[in-house]
Amino acid sequence: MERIKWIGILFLVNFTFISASHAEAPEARKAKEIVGKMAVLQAITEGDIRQFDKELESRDFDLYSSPSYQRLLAARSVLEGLEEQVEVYAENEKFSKAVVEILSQTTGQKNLDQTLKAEGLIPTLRDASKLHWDSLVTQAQFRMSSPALASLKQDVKVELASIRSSINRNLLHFVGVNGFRNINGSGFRDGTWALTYDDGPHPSRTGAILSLLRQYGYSATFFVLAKNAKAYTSVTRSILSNGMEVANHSYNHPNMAKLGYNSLSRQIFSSSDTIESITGRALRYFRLPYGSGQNKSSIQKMLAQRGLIHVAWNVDSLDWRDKNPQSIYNRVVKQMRARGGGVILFHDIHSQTIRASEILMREMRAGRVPGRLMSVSEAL
Amino acid sequence: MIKGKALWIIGILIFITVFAIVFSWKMRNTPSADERLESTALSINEIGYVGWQLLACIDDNQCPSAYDPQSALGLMPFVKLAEDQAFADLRAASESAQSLAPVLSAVQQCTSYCSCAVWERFMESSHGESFNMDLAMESEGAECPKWSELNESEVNRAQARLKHIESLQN
Repeated sequence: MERIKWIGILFLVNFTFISASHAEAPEARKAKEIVGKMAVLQAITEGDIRQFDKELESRDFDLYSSPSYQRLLAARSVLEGLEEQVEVYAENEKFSKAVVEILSQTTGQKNLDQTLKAEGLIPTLRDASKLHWDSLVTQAQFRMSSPALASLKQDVKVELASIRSSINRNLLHFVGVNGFRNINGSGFRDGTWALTYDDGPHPSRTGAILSLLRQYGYSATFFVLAKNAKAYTSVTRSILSNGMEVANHSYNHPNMAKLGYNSLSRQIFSSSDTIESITGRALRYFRLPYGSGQNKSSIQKMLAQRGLIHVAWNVDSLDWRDKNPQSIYNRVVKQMRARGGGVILFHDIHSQTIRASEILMREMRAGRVPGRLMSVSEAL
Repeated sequence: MIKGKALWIIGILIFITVFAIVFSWKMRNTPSADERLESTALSINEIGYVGWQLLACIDDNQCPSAYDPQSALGLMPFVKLAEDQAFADLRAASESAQSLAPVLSAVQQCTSYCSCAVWERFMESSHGESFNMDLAMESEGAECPKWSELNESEVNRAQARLKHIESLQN
């Protein structure tokens, strides 16, 4: 019996030793991660560059409304982030060695060690990526061209998704030529839901929603009309005192796409002054009524001048048109399942919204709807 | 002297005649406040019908031609804008109208346009929470005609409303 016990212990020790000797060094893992991300990025931007070249041929080409150009800018910022990570590891010899090993295996280049010494790690990575990624990746799908890299396959597949979401997140924060910033939630992580309520505050219904949020432990952003905020100052302040966020939704909900300079100024600047004087806090977000006028440069400039980020939505409850809380909830969940993450739009001035919100919070708390409800600031 | 006076009189007569013709023509072509009230009330029902159709497209995939649930969802904020504009027009027209009968008649027809929720929103936005007009009874069991079931003139009117809503996007 004693002998069997010892054999068992020896077997266990031996197994642990073998596993440890085969475990990948953290530097090598990091090198694989960074090189993999760069490869995916390169593949995605290859497509965008081709698209951009095509767009350039068009007579109506506009640089700052070109989606491929925006994606390229976003990709560049992700690439810069990766290069910063490389800089952190640059002094680490094991890391540099692991990078060279991966590049040598995939590109077949033998003098990478010398290039590394002469030019440094980042230029080596850039050059290697130019030389090789085309054959490695097509249409943003990873195709492993080197058997030596087969072990990377799984890692790379995962990175593809994460890179895409990084690009989307950067896209959402894309700052246009006039400084306009826009978010619509389409690049949020899965399960991240910015819950937003428009058109209030309402003397009784806003309070009912605040109670629900407290009860279920969620937070939200309330896009208030300055006109209503002035009429119900205590309700406006109670949004903040309940730990929620207040944002601007104009003075009185006009179609801002049709307004002239003075009226726009009143809807953006004066309304912001009014709300800030009530809450005592600087505003960060603005939502255009009906989402109308997002492409109007005068609106974009004014929002940028005031330092406000425009927040659109990608899940619309249509609670202003539908009186049935259950069908409002069904519609919201249907869109949530299709989007994965984003910004949900409700209106805290309708009675049916209270019940629909309650169903959503209850179902999410029970785990039947995946994710978490939060304010816009928390989601970013 | 007399000749000059006669010319003056003729001139004044011509002016009065021209003025009377232009005024009566304008009066005939400018709708009265009552007529405006009636047409705006009808437009609320028609916008309501289009909104209901788009809602059915979003929820149940029963879409008017050239629409899919995603494009219908994108148009809905502009349905709200069209409704809000019609509400403002209705308030303005009702101030000078002699009777609110056209509005009441339009509200009574809301079931056949599936626009009762729109009228409820109008009443509440005009008169506050205390004016809670519950049209649920009227809406219950009501069946709105599908786009394909409309006759030619109804299709044309609905198409015109849809076009108007689409134009608000630009």
